[in-house]
Amino acid sequence: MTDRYPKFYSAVETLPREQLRQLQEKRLLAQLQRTFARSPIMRHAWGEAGVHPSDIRSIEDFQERSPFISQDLIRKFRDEYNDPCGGLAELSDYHMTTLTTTSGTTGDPSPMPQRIRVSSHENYMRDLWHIGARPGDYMIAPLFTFRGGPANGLTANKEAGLTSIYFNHMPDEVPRMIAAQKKFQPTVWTLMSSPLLIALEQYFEKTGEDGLQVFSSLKGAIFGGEALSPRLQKLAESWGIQFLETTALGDVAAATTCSAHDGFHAYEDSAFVECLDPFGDTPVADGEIGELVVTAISDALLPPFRFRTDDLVRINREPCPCGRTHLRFHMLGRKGDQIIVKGRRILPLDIRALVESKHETASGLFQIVKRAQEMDELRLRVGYNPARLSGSPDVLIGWLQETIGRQLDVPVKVELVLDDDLLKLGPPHKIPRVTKS
Amino acid sequence: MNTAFAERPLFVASYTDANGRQFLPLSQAEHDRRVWFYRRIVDTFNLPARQVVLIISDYNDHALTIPLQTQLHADSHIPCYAENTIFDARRTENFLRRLDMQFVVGINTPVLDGLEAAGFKPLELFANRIVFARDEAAYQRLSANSSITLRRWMEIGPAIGMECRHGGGLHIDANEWDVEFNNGEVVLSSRLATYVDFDKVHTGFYGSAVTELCDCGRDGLRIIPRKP
Repeated sequence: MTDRYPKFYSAVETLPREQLRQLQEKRLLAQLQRTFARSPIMRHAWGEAGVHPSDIRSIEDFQERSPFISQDLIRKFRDEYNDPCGGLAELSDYHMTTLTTTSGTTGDPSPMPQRIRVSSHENYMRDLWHIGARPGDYMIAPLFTFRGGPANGLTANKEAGLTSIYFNHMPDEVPRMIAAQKKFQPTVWTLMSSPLLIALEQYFEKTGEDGLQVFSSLKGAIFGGEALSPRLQKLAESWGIQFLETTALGDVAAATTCSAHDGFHAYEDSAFVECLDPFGDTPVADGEIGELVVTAISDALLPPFRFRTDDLVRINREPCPCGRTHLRFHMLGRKGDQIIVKGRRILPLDIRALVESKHETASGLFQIVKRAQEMDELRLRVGYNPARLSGSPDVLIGWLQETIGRQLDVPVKVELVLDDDLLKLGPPHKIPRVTKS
Repeated sequence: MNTAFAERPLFVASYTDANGRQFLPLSQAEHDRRVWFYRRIVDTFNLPARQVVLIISDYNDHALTIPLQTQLHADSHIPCYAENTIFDARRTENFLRRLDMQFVVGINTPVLDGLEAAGFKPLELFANRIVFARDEAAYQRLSANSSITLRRWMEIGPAIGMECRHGGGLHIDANEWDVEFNNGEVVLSSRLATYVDFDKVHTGFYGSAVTELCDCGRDGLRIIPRKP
């Protein structure tokens, strides 16, 4: 059947890069004028740096003179000034309609004031459209409330003509999700996560139902929370599900992969993106590893601060085979998740496939226990499914220690815990991969 | 006209009745009527402008929370959210500690358990606030502190039940629902156009009817929960 709608949800997705740059500059300067006076932390940080919006006439000026900001600075401002909004906005500002928080994986959620519509809502509509969702379609939406009020995303869904079917993002909701899949025949699903995929696997093992048949109406799904592991990708493919992966673009927008599966698209009309030396402020060349630095340029509320995300990425500004012109990046991990064991740098990404390769620990649930930035031994807490245990727990521990130690060339100490106990650590779409205790 | 588009509900939420969790597709009109139901309840509290309101809920609560958020926005209040699970109880504490928050909607037993497990004292945490309990056990636990203005906010099958400032039973939208009792179980039928027809839905919610008019001036009966 011919699709009578355009290929891209927004025409800006394919804007030539030169025009995109001009659009970014216009938006950045307008955003600066509009929001600077409303943000206490912006006024504070720029005041300390001796810069004023009137000094900024171009993107180059902005890159040269604008100070950075980070979640740590936002929390520090919140605590020092007893400001529940972290200085990002003021409670008395009528533009602010909702006070949300980050997931708090690091232990202390950061405030994220919002207007009812944020950039990520529009970004996700583009991604769902790219998957093939069209007006009149249903969408399965298992999510959680703390990242935004439930009415917030609804406005974007409504404009795109999609009807969301809401669920808690909890494994025990899977039977109802399957029932909705059969009843409403949705074309898209967002958000899928490792815990949900593990629960779906168990559901199909238990019921004997055919995943391929159950998901036959799905054109695709958005996966998030953490990187999609090869095992879980293969599992989803066996049910006919194609994933686009998503991640936060510095908590000011969203970035999602496309049909080319070659990096997360950062919608550059929503955010100005830089890739800088993780331990300095000089730009790194495209293709080199750097820290993702993001500036909101079209959010209805947030000021355009240069937000250091702590994410280590590689950037690619070449046109994408999907047809979009916006840059892509590959996520390598979080700077804070990186540990050094006997001089070797290790990220959770280096460990996950090894844990997943064993039947008993195939859920891929594990935590690095980080007692110091540099350690002599890699300490891991690994989740396992007792129903899959073929030998004793000690044998499993021995296998994990030997296999991971040999692959990473460091001594490894493993503590086994139940999968379910790790899943409780939440937030529901992921678990903290690095813990201090 | 694209009829497939026009006939779709605004969103699909869910509710619990005597047979378990059911899908609840809601039209824009139903959503808007729910917004007005909330407006009449929240108005009785005479909240000052720009109040931060904590809503403790989850995605299964959307038939209750989406219209509530819409109403709060319309009145210039600022909703914020914490999950209603034992694991996210610290987020509730975090909000209460950092914000001078008078209105807390949705405290339930798991969050009270989570707060206590984390070393907090809920009776102190919620003191001098207007607090809506989501389940009767949570209501009873918090009733030990008389400085808490304690009210109920509950799902009664596909309907919303919420107490106004005067307390004394859950208001239920009398325009929207015909309410009957079958051995104490609330049985609901829709009176107006709904995306799904409800005809004598056995809600699994047990209560006693309060037929005296409420001091807030709303018509229709109120319901006080009771055990089956």
